[in-house]
Amino acid sequence: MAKTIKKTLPWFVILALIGLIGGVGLNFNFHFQNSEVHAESATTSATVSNVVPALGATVEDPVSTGASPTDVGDAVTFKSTSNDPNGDNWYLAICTTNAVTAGTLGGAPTCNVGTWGISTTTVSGAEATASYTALVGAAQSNAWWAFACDAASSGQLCSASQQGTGDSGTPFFVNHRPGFTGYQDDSPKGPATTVTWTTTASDTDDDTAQDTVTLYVCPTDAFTDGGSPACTVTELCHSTAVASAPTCGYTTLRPDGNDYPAYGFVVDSHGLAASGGSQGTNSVFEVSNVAPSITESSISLLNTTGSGELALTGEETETTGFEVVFTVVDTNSCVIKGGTVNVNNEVASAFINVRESQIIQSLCNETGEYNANQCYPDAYASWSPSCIQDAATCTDATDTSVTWTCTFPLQYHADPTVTGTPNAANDWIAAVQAEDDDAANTGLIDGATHTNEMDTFMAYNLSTATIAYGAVAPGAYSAEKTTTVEATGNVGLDENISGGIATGEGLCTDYDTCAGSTIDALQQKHNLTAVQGWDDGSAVALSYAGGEAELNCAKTTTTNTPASANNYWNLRMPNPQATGSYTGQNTIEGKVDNESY
Amino acid sequence: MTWEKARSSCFVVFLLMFGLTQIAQAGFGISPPYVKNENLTQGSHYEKNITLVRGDPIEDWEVEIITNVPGADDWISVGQGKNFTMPQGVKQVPILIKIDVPDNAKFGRYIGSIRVKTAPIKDLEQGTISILLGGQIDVNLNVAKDVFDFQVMRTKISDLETGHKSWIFSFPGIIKFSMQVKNIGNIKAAPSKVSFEIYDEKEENILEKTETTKMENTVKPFETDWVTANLQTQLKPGSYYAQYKVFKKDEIVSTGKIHLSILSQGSIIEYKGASILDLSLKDKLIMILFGLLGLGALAGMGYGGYKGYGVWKKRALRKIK
Repeated sequence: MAKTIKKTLPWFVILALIGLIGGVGLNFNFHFQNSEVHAESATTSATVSNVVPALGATVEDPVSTGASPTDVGDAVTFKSTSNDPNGDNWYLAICTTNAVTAGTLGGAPTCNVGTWGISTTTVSGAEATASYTALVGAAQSNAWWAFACDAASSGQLCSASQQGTGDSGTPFFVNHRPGFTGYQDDSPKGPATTVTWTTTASDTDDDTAQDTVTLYVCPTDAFTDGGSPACTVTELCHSTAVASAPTCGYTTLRPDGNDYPAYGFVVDSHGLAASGGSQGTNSVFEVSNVAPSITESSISLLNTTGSGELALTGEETETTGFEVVFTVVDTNSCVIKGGTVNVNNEVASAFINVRESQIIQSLCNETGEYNANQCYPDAYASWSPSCIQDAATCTDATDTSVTWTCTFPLQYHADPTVTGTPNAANDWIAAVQAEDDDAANTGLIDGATHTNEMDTFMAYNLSTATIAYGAVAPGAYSAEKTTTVEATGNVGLDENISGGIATGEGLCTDYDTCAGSTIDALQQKHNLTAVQGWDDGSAVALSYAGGEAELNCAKTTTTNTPASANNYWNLRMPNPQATGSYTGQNTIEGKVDNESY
Repeated sequence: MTWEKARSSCFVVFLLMFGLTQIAQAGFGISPPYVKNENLTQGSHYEKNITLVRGDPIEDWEVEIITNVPGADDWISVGQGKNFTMPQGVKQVPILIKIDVPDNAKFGRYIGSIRVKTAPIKDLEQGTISILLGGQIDVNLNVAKDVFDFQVMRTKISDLETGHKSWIFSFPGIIKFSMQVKNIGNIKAAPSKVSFEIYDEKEENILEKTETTKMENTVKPFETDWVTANLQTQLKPGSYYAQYKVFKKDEIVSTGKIHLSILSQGSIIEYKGASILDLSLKDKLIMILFGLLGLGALAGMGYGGYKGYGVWKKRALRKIK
């Protein structure tokens, strides 16, 4: 309480002071107007003169500095407060020079040279704001002078100028948009390589520091500039901040196609985006199609069982189900752009040529070069291999390799190449070609690492299933009979010939009990030469044990004309020999002729 | 004129009265017509698949197998037995020739043949000479001491996922390199080592070298089977090429180029990547250390529990007293 009393003037003191001031004032006036006082009428008048308003601190809000300038298009706002002693409203005038002219009739003042902004009339003591929207043509650095001008109805006055202090004081800075006039990429580029965008872009602002420019490349036409500029959705790449001509690179996707969008955006070092020119234009980069490839060691020529030598099993016909498996690599991915994995395959087709290795690749790729012994070109219409991509071999769009399997037939007389055959120095080889969806192909690739051998296939066909000697008198000779053996495998033939069911029982009337009348197998002779007769030295008597006949039937080389060789048969009827109808069996066992392939 | 003379002069023998009629052609074949093995040894078991072929199987045939390999007849058996039927309608009948070399067989070469004779099961047509078909399988066996030999018939590789980090452990990517191995020796065989040099997609730079001597399996003598080598890689997802070498002891028996698709983790359904066993030695040691620490902590807790129980028990007994 004591303190309160000490700090507060007593009421009587205040009254005394008021009285004192009033008295002095009256005395002064009386004295000042003394000469005008008419003796007869003593009227009293007083004029309160206008007083210059006092301008408080003027600031930019937000602060506009060289490091943080005001972007073109944005407003610089000046704020200040002024107390007018007369209680008049006031104007805040921000001028480009230190010269202002107060208004009249309460109107706004006028900057003598240039105006940044003049506030609306503002109540004394209240904050006035004046703003300037930065124009493209504005200088980078702009000095300002602030004035408080009252809005008195007459005799308006303006304060002395003021320029603020520190960063919020004069000048304010204007940041201009960077220039961006050129934008292009260096595509087409291969898949998973770098496509680079180059630009013609720079920024002329160099007050305080040279502005830099940064390029952003976005797959959509959406970009957010400002303090943290970025592609709004996703980004392909962005450059470093450079003085001019920013560039950036992006590792391309794998699927080929020419419609990958790439919108370019340039911002300056304050995040202000370029406008017009190349800003937001789409360069449309292209991932080029790359021809697929096949690694030769991925090619394997397989038997129908998946392993082992190639084994023919079709007697005088094709054996189907041989396979060529191989891996196709396409750096554009295993699936086409936007396609479904394992449905829309990048590798569209493949074909094979299969041949014996002594035939060079270029001599086994045309239809006229087909030769069932050693060359099976895809071009030959009557040979029908089938190639498909293996199921589920494509994992996803980043997978670049797939396996293929071609299934094909071989004729029964395809040359054997296993050890012991005339062509043992050779083997069988597949040449493979694959093509992608854009008709780019691998070229013919020989699978020279994993070739295969053709195994031997001993097969024959007998033109007759019986020997018909007809009626022969005891002691007489039959007419010569002929049996024909055709080579229906891929080797030449010899034969083992035997007869009867036991020694001495070649033919029987009660076959195959042979308890009745019999004729010994020895009563038949076979010869490899015709019309030589029973007594010919080369005629060989048939026996139950049998023996080899050097038939020397050549290997078949023409599909529809099997090689063949004959056996000539003669019967000498024993004498005496019981009359009857005799039945018997002769056996021909084919065997590989190691001399007559 | 005696009766015999009269009979021989006045009567003819009617033979094959009905055999003049041409009947359907008959074909027969054997694929392949041989059993050969250069690398048998004492106690070896060898099997050879052979296919008997017919052109027009209109009837059942009875098959008889007759072996004639001097010194080795007893070693040879047929999976189906030496007498069996080739059924009507079946053009190809596989048979399995088995060779079981006795433990005391003499080293040397055994050459001979296996005859395959066929005959229709139904009676032959009376009054005819039927020609029956058959074929010869050449046999050439050599019994020698232990032979380690194989051929790589084919190689393949599966897509793999890149390695990954789990906690502080780095699990590598695992390249599963499969080799179809034909064991032509007479003891179990597998490649001794597989090495990879892995290049970038353009095959310009070697990015990694990796090798292994561990094969997942071996191949029995005279068989053909797949052998898998697991090689570790630290490469990121991408497309690569590898130059591979397959070793038989110190000899390179197969070499070639193969493509590698390394995919990101989680790309391959039901993929089995690296296990703890594939960790580096350092990671394994760390894991063992953690294991030991864990065990120690458990032991400490157990000991503390035991001691605490003792104290509690003593107090309880005192109270009772």
